[in-house]
Amino acid sequence: MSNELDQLAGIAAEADTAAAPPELTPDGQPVQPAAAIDYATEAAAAVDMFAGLVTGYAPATVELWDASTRARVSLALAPVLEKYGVSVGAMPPELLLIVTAGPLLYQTSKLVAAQMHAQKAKAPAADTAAPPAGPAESPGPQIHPQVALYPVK
Amino acid sequence: MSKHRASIVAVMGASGSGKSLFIKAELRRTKPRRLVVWDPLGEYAEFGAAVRTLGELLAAARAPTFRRVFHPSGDPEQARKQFDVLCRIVFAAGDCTLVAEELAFVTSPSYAPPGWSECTLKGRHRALRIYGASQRPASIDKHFFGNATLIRTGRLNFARDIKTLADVLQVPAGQVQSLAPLQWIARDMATGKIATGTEKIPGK
Repeated sequence: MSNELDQLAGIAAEADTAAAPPELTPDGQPVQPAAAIDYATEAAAAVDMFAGLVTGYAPATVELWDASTRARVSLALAPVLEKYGVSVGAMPPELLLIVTAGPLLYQTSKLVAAQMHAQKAKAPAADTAAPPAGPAESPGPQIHPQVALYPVK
Repeated sequence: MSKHRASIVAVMGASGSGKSLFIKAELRRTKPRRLVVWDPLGEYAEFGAAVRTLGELLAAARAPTFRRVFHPSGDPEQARKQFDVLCRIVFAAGDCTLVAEELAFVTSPSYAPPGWSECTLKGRHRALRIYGASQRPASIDKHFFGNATLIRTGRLNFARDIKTLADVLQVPAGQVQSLAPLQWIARDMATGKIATGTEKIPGK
């Protein structure tokens, strides 16, 4: 056995020379390689994102995209993502932000617009109830002090 | 005939399915005197001294007793070469337990490094006890299943992996698909006996 181990010294040294030393974390543990993409999780995230997008713009579709539908679609989507190597995590962050926050902003703007509209609708009623008070008395004719020195005959 | 009985255990399952729990429990139970762990994810620090070069491993393998945990290169191509040489060292050393984690990083359905093939094909004659683990059984060396003495799977995520394991275990795919986290099915390849159970988390 020792002889066999001796014979491996050459290829062991060769492999050590070729291999870059593993990156270490500050506590001396090896930096973990990028984990294999979990396409089931990716699919679930993609479906959740899409459902959030759709239900955000059209809240009436919430019932359509219930948990069991999402799970069913995710199961069908996972092999497709795997086939084409598509990863939600690889999406540009700007696009991710737009897709996530877009429906929220849209619904928020609709709510704000509705509130402003309601406030405007209330305003005329308030005007009739209490019309703005006019000036207490009309100002008299304005006479310049110098003109006042010369009484009108 | 070899006087040794082969011990090659294939441990499959998605992340969080209990693969490492099982292997660690086995190592705690059997307390191997001579142990080499291929540990790309840094999970086995408690089982031996960390080594980062094959030279260090080669030196250690000359001793009657050694336990080493090898951390491979982050470069996939280099890691495959390192895995080949590591397996050759284990085979040459003999009388050793080898744990190979994340086989899909270093083998494929159509390729196994020669050192790994040597260990799984002829390891019995060198009194090797082998644990090979992977999250993606459909993506690893197919011959490994043919040489395994015990095949065990936990929950799997992908249809292709579920089908592969159902075929290997000779159980309905639905039985593999319905496994919850930490549940497992195992087949003793010598007797064909199927066992099922739930992995226990230490201390719970």
